[in-house]
Amino acid sequence: MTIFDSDEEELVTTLSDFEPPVQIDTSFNKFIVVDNIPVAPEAKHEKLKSILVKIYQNRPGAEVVGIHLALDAQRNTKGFAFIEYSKKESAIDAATSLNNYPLDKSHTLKVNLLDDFSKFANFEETYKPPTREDFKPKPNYNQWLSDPKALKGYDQFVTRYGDYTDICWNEMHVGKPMVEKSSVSLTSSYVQWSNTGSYLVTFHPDGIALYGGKDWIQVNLFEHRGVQLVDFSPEDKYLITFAPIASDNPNSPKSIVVWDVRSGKKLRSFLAPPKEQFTWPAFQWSAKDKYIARIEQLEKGINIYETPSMNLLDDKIFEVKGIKDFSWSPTDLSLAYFVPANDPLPAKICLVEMPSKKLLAEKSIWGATDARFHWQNEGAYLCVKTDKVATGKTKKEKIPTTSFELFRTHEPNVPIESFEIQYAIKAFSWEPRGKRICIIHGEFKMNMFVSFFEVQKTSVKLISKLENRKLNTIFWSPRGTLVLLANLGDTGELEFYNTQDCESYGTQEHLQCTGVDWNPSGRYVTTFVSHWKVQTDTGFNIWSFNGDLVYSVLKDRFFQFNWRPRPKFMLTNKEINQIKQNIKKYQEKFDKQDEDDNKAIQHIEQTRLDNLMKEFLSFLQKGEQEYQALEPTRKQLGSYEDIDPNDIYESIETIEELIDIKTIVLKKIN
Amino acid sequence: MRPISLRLHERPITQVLFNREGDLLFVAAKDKLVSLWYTTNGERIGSYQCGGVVYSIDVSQDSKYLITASADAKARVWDVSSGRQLDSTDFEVSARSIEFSQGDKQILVVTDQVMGCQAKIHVFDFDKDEVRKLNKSYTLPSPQCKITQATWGPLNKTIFASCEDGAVRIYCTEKRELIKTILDHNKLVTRIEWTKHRIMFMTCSKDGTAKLYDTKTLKLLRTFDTGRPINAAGISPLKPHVILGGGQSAESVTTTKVDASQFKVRFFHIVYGEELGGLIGHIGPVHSICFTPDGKTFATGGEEGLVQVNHLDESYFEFDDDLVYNPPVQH
Repeated sequence: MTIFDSDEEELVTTLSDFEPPVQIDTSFNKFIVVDNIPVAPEAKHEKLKSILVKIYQNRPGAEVVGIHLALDAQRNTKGFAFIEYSKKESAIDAATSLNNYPLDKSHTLKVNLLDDFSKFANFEETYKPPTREDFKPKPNYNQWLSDPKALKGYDQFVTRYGDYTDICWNEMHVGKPMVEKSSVSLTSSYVQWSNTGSYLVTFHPDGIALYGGKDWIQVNLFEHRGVQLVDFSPEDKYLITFAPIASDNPNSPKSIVVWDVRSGKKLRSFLAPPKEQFTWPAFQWSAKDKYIARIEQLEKGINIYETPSMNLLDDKIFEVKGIKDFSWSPTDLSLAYFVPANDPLPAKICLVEMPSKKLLAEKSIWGATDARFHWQNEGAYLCVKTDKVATGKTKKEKIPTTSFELFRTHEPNVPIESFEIQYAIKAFSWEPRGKRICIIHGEFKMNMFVSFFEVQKTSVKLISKLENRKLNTIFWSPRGTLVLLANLGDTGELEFYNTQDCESYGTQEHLQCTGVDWNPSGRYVTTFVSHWKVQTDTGFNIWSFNGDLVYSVLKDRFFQFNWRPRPKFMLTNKEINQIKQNIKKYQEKFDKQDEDDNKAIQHIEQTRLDNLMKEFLSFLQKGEQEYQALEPTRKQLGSYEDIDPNDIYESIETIEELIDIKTIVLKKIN
Repeated sequence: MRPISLRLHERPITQVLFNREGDLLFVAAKDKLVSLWYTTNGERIGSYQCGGVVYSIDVSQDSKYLITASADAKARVWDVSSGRQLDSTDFEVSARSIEFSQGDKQILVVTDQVMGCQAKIHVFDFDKDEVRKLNKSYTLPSPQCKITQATWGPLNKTIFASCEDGAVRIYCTEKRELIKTILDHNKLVTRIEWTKHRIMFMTCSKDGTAKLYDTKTLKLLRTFDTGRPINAAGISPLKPHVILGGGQSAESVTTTKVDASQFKVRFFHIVYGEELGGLIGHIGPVHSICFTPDGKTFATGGEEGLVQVNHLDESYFEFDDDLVYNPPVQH
């Protein structure tokens, strides 16, 4: 008996060790219900089953492990069946891909997941109308334009240094930036303004964020892992992001994505061209946020996509064989493109209206191999620089020239004319809202020419020429007339030039200057040295339009300075002229306002300084009090920091001064 | 105001120092020489020849003893008037910083962080009446990084150390352990400077900022931002002014783009934190600044070996009100 009991216990232990309890799977997530199958007698059941299995196994990775036909009392099929897969993913796939399968003319098979039935069975019997959500208005992203500071003509800018991002106002009389918002680690790489200044973009590993509104709330998030570049449409309705992806999938590309800014919705994504062909922006925006376009990779033409559908315009490529480059007008829905010369055909520059594709202008040029488009910012003029192959017949002593074709796009029939410049072109720039062109050209870096041209009724006239300059870049004031010529990335020479009077306001220098940014009002211009290029003496200088230094800021690890753009000017020329005529009336009003504001500011500042002094003196005097109280302790230490009046050292210098010389003659008495 | 230029040293100045009365100026340099000058007229009195680059000096309150820390791994005691070396102590590595305690009874010496040796603060007993003047007392634990300077806190109860990692470490001399760490700078801290009576102190850093703290509460009172490395500060005992000096070191400035205006010493208002002006004169980074205790004269030493003594004009003293150390008596 004892032996038997012991054996029994061992067996029980062994059994539990080797046979864990079986877990029964009670879910039906691998099952689908197939409806609308034909009614069939028992003799045809096997055939029907094999047909159904064949149909529902015809998906990648799908394996049917069981099929059950529902039968009635006479052993005929009821019209539906249960099918089991080996894994639930196949069931889900079947429910989406094989629904509405046409078995024959009179039977279209329907598929549902078996688990869905319990969901539908538990539905509420009573109908409840959906709750109407209260309307939540979006904040006004242009609110800053009606801020009292903006109404007084101040502008905002963003600076980044170290881990800080500061958004500041330029109250110039203060002599330093007035920080509105300062953030730490706001972005992981850099920040960027949108074109109208409504949004500030920050970059993050998983995408970008947009900030805006009165309190710089986060407007939207755009998920794009590894994003590096952002391009806004001209009116900020859309944006395009780029992230470099090795071996992007053509079926679902992730490199270039087009987004709707307001809704945050992804509109379409595109493949990026190979690295050696990559340029940014990847697509060119037309005016009015209407189209994006880029050259088809095999140079058959231009792919033009419409917004917001992102469909190809007219569902086909805009065919231009051999196209090399193109450019949209900044204001009209017209497009200029260039086809290089291909013997024996000449090169071609065409101006085309979209979407009609009507040819507006065409110019043939013999021997041109490349072109660069320069639009005036109101779209009134297009200047095309063309490069030509140097023929063997050209004399080597001849001064090289550069050719330009000028299209007067807003005049009837688009007149075209040509002009030439001596030497290679270093920089070209149109005057904003004007008719002047500035070109830097020359052979030697230390001896460049700066030429100013003006487009007149029937010709392009040279109005001014500067010689012997060390300049390489042109920065027009946003309002025109004034221009800052700079030597970027080198010694940092700056020349402030007035094209109305054809005179130089003066030259300045910002050592190792890496960038220039004009204030949108055209009254100030900023030069900065970025830590991305230069490691010492980074920071920025703000100058007035005529070259006076307003103030200078040095910051360690300074990266960025960007003025906040303003939206498109809304006043008509007539309204602007009306304001100019009444400028004195407005000036009195604003002068009074400024005076009141300055008094208030001075009072606040004086209060601040007084408080600082009070706080400092309290620390100082409290410390001094304690110091005096510890006199015995210091005496014990043998410490005598202050000078004892009795020990005052005096240097004594003896001065002997000759007062007078008297000669006394003593007479001898005989 | 015409500065007096002292041109003797051929290599960078490491420290300029006035004695308690302010009539003597000591200059230490990398040419292994410490020189002594009259403040009033810039006449040279003599010099002390050390065996290596002199990093740090201090003088006793009675102006009888000079102590030096040098790169030949020695701390030395000199007789100021005769120029004789009285005593020395050997270390394994360069001696980087040296200072008398208040009352001159002890001396601290900082040794460098080099390869196998950790930076340390050594404290010696100083006995002026003995032949052997330096006797080892104790050593503070190492911060595991280079110490640029160490200085005694009020009543010798603490020792402040400025470190390469941007920290300022405060040690208790009684417990001989670290009691506090200030981590406001993000680059090497170059200098700690005291106000009169050590009521406040200022830290200078390569991150381009100098910070003013209350000694008792360690509260950060003000930050002065120059945008360039700061090597030295001088705090006026008389006026609410502070002088900052520095500039990019020679190896990080290419010769063609040098801009001498960055080497000017700059005056800031100690309360408002605003820059008041500057003085040019140096053509290399400024390494040391020192005020006389009466606040009427300051000296600067630069990378190019030049020392300038500036006797401040009467117009300077009229510019701002004096600091009021004692509150007005109320009746």
